[in-house]
Amino acid sequence: MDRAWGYILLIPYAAVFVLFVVYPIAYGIWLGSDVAGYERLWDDPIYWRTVRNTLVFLIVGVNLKMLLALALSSFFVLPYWWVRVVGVLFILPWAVPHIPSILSIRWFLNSEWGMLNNLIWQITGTFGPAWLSDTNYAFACVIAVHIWKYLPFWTLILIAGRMAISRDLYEAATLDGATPWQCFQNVTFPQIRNLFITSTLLTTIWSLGDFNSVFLLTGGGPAERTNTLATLGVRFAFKEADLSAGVATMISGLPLLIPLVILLLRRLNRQMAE
Amino acid sequence: MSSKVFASALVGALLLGTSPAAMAADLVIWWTKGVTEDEENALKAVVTKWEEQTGKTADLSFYGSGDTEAKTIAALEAGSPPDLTFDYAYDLAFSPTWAYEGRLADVSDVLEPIADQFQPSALKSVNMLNGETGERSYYAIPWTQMTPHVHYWKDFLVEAGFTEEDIPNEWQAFFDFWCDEVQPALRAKGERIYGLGLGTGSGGNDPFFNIHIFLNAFGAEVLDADGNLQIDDPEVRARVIEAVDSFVKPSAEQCVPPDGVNWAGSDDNVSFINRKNLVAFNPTLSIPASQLKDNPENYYENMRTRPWPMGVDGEPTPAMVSVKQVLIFEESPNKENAKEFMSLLLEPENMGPMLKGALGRFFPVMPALLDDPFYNDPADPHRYAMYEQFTTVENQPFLQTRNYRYAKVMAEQLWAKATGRILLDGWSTEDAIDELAERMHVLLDE
Amino acid sequence: MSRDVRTQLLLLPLAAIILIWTLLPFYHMVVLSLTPRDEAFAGRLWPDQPTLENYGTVLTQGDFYLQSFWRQLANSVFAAVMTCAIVLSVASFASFAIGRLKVRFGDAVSNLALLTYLIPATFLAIPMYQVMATYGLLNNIWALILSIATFTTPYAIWVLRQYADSVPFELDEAARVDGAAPLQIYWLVYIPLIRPALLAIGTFALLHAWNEYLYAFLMLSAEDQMTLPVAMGLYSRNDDAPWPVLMALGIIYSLPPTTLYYAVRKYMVTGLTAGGVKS
Repeated sequence: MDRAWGYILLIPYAAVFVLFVVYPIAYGIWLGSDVAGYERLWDDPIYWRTVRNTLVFLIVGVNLKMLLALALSSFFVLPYWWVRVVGVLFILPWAVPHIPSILSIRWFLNSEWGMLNNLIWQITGTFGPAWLSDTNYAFACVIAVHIWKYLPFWTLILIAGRMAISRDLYEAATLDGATPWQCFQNVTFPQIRNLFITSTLLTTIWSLGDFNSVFLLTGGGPAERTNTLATLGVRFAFKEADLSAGVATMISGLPLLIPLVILLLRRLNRQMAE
Repeated sequence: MSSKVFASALVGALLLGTSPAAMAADLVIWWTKGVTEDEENALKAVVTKWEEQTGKTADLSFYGSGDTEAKTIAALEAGSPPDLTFDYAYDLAFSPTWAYEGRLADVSDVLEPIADQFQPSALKSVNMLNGETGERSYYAIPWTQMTPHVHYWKDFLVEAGFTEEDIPNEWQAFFDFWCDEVQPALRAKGERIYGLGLGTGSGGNDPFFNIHIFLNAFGAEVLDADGNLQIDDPEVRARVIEAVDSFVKPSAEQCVPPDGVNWAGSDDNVSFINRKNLVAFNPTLSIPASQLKDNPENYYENMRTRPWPMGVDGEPTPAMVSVKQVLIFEESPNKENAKEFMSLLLEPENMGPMLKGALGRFFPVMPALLDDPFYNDPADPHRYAMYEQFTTVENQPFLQTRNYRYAKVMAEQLWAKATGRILLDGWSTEDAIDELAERMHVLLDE
Repeated sequence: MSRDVRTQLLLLPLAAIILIWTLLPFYHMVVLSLTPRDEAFAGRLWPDQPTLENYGTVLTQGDFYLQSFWRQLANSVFAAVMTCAIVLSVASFASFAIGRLKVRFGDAVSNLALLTYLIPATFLAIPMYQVMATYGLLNNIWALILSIATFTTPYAIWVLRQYADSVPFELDEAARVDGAAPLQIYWLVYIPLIRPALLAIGTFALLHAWNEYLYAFLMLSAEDQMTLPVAMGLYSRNDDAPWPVLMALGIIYSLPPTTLYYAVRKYMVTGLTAGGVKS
């Protein structure tokens, strides 16, 4: 009787799963089995540029973000009231939706009429850098926007992890004459190491799918030089009517994605079992 | 959240509800959103008229520019295209291919009875090759046409100490004048300004239009009359290189705002309207038209529209004309209704007000509509310039009409990628053109 | 000066940097939204004559591109609430079946769900769009609701399972002894027990649907069907988009989720750490 009800109650999820996960994935694989898409990517310098961008985005962006989160978590656990106030404001980028914030940043950075270059003009009389159209600056800005948006969340997660560490450990360490840095090295980090690694894996996977930080800020330009796999795939499919190239772009991210997902699944299951 | 609160929230949401998708309509229209309410209302009025005349129902949706094409691409793939659709990108990037693949409905029965009302060039541009039948026929309805215009700020020119007579009319001298004379003069007066709003980005269509005017000015025929690629011909290649050099020169010499390499569709308008550069190159009259209501002194006094300077051969530069198309698909469920509606919409008293509602941004394809002071009043500094451009200068249809595969060159933004190579990666023009030619061969050769 | 005060003083510059970094985009948004339309390009630190008229323009639908503002707001609310309802019911059913009724293959289902959660939604955007077209749901707000529900439910199942495992089985057993049917246990015992977790994931789903840009942008195109973020994107691509009005719209759009987030912040952190990343 329980079992029977169990299956009935699973039906809604099974339906969602079949209709909106299995079918799209199967359809995607079918679309992705067209060799023409991969041939196009292979020949397209923009694709290789995009692969490089994606790797830079993940390696630089994600690590910088997680290290900053780790560093900032040390600040936000301090027991002063004003630190808590700063902490509350610090969460805002995470709490406010993407589109207004990123559009605001785009306008702010516009080299002709943005507030930043206007200040530079008023102070120095020079035109200021082309933040969003110099290839290197533009991609740096994309990474900065990504960090701005997601840093608060991961800082929060690390703070939660640190709060769970027993005070006794710190007291023992202090009695042994440990400096704050030694405390961090020998007590804090070993305790949140697992959390830190899991978080880094998770955010690497999610960052691979970060469409907004690129699309809303630079649109992939100048001349398609700041795309990541996520935005290039959408561009191929919906701007150029080349579905097979679009799907091929996404699928080409799988060799990176699948090992990360397997690694993460293993870790999560192990932690769940503990 | 207590379950009661939750339940009432749910009920509230259900009451807001969504209107059921208009699956059952006898005519589904996807139209790219206009710029004014008048334009939209004019189309709505014709739809209502059609509904009243026929007793059928129509479902009209307005989509943003760019959204219509994306939706149509996917709907075609899924086998459920609309009955009728209009977008600015169709003729440039899509319909030649769709016609060739046999995906567009033959609309000869709509056009042929009224063929004498259209400009012959407009009709020619919708006479497309169907690869399945191997024959040409009418696969789209010409709606309006556009060609890039040159706008400049007359008041800035005066402020810099020049008059309109000082503007050279030779090709390179024209651009150099703004970059080497007017821009420095204004900067010396403390203006934060650039000479030319000649964007090169891949995010919009404007650079695609403009580069083809440059190619025309240098007589660089990338395709021959039969649509065969001849970019490897040494003379053509040399001219292409000259044209591209001329096109990127202002950007390379910081005479174009640095963001110009990444302008999307509307950024060139925004930059010019807000007086951040002196000269704009835009394929419709949208720039002056946007000033008509709130800043008429800009429209009538400060802004000017003029023809392109003479080509290097000393003759007027042929303009590239893009004829915007309304499409009906082979798989559209209500083709007959769509054709019936189009016949109604094409009646001058229906079409005319809609184009006027767009404030004259576009140029009609029916000569009868032009016999109207709205377009041909010499006192209007912009529409009259457009009128002259279309009626006195040699107009060429886009290369897509010679070879349907050229649409892919547009879709992949090959020209913008080539200029990006030069401006962003520091490549030589020769290398950039080699890369462009190589890809063109892949796209254009059988 | 005590050592503690000195530490605090040394930390102040850091706090200042954090605050400037965090708040600058919001400050800019507010400044623009208070700037008269024709001064949008002045790039001033503070407008000479701050005005609220941009907010008025939004609320009265006083612009050609804003003519469906209230309708779009209602669409956003509808999408958020329906997504939330679907996620909560589907996930609580599934987690109850797996965790309490111990259906066979429960762990496999749960792992599959987890896998879905880990694939970035962007990677499925193209086939999902095609599939929605096949279902005839394009340009229908349900396409958005169903896709966001699809991507949020696995996470919800997972959080609920973790949470439910930590609440005792005894109450279930007691109810069973009293002769309660599975559905009664679900409604009378299970739901009340997991309420804090439901609150967290409900908020999560609500915010997710409210904030979603890519899927909404791809699937909703008609003005009376789209949600506010799509309308903002469309507006920003317009030839002469008045950015001060756009920013006022952005602030109005951001207020509900931000307020909600701060209201349930405590639950969110517990919920997310319980499920997302357990140390």
